[in-house]
Amino acid sequence: MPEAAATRDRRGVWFALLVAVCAVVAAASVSISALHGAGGAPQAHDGPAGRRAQTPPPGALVFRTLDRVHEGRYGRIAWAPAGGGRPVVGGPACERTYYAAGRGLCLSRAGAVGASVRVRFLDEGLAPWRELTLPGIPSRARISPDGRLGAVTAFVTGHSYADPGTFSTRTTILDMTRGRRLADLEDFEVTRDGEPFRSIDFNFWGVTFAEDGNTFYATLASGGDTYLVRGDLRGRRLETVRRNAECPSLSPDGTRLVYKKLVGSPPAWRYHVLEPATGIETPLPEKRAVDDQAEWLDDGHVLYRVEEDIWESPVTGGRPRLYRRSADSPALLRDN
Amino acid sequence: MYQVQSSTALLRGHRRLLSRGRRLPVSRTVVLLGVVSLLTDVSAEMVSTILPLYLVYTLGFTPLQYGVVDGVYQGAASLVRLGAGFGADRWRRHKEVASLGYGISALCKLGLVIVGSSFSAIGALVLLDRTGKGVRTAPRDAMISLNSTPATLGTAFGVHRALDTTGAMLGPLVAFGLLALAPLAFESVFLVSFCVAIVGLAVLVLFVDGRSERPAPVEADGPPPSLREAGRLVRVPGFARLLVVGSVLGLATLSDGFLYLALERRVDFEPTVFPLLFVGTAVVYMLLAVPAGRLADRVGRAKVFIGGYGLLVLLYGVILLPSAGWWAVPLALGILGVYYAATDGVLMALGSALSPPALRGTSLALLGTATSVARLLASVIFGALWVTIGLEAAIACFGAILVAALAVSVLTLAGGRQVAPGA
Repeated sequence: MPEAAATRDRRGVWFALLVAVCAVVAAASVSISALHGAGGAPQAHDGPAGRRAQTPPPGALVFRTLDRVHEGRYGRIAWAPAGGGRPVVGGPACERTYYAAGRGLCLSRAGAVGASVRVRFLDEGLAPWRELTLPGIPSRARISPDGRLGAVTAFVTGHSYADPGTFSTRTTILDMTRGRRLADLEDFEVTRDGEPFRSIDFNFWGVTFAEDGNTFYATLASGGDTYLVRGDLRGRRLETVRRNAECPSLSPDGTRLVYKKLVGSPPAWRYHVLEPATGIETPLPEKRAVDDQAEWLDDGHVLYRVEEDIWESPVTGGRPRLYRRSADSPALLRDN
Repeated sequence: MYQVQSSTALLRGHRRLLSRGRRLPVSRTVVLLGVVSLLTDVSAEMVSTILPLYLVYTLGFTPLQYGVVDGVYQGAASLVRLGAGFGADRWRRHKEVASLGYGISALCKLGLVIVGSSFSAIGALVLLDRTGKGVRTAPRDAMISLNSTPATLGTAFGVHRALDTTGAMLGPLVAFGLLALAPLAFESVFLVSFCVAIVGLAVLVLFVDGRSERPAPVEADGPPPSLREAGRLVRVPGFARLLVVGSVLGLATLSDGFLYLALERRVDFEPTVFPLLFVGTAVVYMLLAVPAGRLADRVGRAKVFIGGYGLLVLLYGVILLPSAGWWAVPLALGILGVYYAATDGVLMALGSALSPPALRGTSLALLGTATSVARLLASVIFGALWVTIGLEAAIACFGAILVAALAVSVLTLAGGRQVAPGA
């Protein structure tokens, strides 16, 4: 069948052409990305060894710099004195950072496939002194006001044949003084409206610590709902406080919580402030959609990330303003 | 590109294999469909592996939003499957309907490159991608069965599933390899995934013959099957029994996710090795899919199929062993892989042998949808049991249900023997 053979040959040629075009497009796309640093995000480097940041003084803002202009700065933990000023960049490069009472946390990606969190414990001068590895992708980091407790949230992506892309979060409480794991929120007993609440689809994230070294707040998600939960670390207990509240942050005086709440249609996160004592909840003047765990600047203002900058908003009245350009993960050093 | 080269090499390898005396009694179409599935799975798994990373990293999604996408991901496929299976039978256009499905999924990969950061657009693309999967599955399985002799159905599905699983394993490796070369270049990964999918589609469109090589008796003659005839499928004695057996066993089947989670709780290994569990199972499945299919053709498909579920009882037992140490993990993964090899393709071979050729797509879609709905139900039930009576008790409970389901299945299939001796 010469005709059939000719048709098959022609098909072979078309196929070879298509494979060649696809191979060129794929190779070009990957090489361009590899050479130019894709996604607009430059690679973070730890910078020259031995360059140590000085210890940030009280009132300073410790943050992660997103400076893309100066080489070797992007992603590194840095600080700036109270009221602004030139940043001092000296810590390691991280995906998420926090700092309180002379202790810091730096979360970065690790593992051959980038699916592990490298948790580095930093000393008061932002130098790493110990590290451990947790499964997942870095998400949130917090340290208690006294610097003794830490909390890390990571996204864990499962990969199974039958349920593709199973996904969950893990929140680990850390002992900051020894650089160790202390507890996993999944092991805590949860009560909802006074009744025991159990489900295998629990996910926890976004911890904020109170002054007493035992109480904390966090987010619990189950069955499509999110809850603000109050935790008792020593008792290994959690109880739900209210629904629809994520990534809480407790004010320095301990009387108010700022969190993200899903509102409107299509739903978007807006910051709201709650007085747990009275149950009064009010929206913040920030009208943009936000996705960050806020940090209190003082008892009347909060800091948070919008795109690649840190913004400041009063809790009631007024308008948000730009606080620091090209930075995220704000942590304010308090005087205590 | 590495993966394109390797797939053309594979294609060449298969041609060589076929020309070298046809050691496998499988038609060219079946092997080509396997290659199409391999490339499509490389493409699909590349995306599903990195999608969570992409959503969380680049787009700043939270788990709750991801859950929405994920739910969409899983639910969409099975409903479309029935419609596409029937449509392909009705128009006698299995190749065209399958191509449409593969094409839709390929375009979605390109869409991911273009839409950027819109949550609703990504959700829509994921939905469309799963729709494409739903569209292609039944007509493709129908083509495999219509292009095989009745005596080699098990082997044919085994060859297809082995190639399919190979693709599913290569996909994540390719994706992570590319991200290692070009960190955070998610868009590049999507683009490469699109290229691989297009090559897969081209293999189907250019090389697969739309008409079956070994036409079944009823094919191409008589009027196109009506919806009423499709509805009467549930009354075809042998096939109806198989539907019951597939659903009943599905109801007692723990999803892999739960099995891995249970293993982790029992043996207490590092959660970081979680992705390796999937690889371990897939390797065993890949290696044994063809031998299991051949065995099924030789000693009886129903025997191998029931035997596979018997192994699942054993697997539940291994997880429950009080002294389960680290060795329980490879043992469990091995058993799970053998179970897949003995049941997944073999069920479709059983269904093919028991259903009329004119309604092959509809029949296999019905069988696939029934079992996956049963498994979904099983997951919900298991989740509830885990919370109320605890993990060990829940597994023991499922073990008991599975033994009962096996007894029902053996009786049901034995009752059907007079009707369908080939099964």
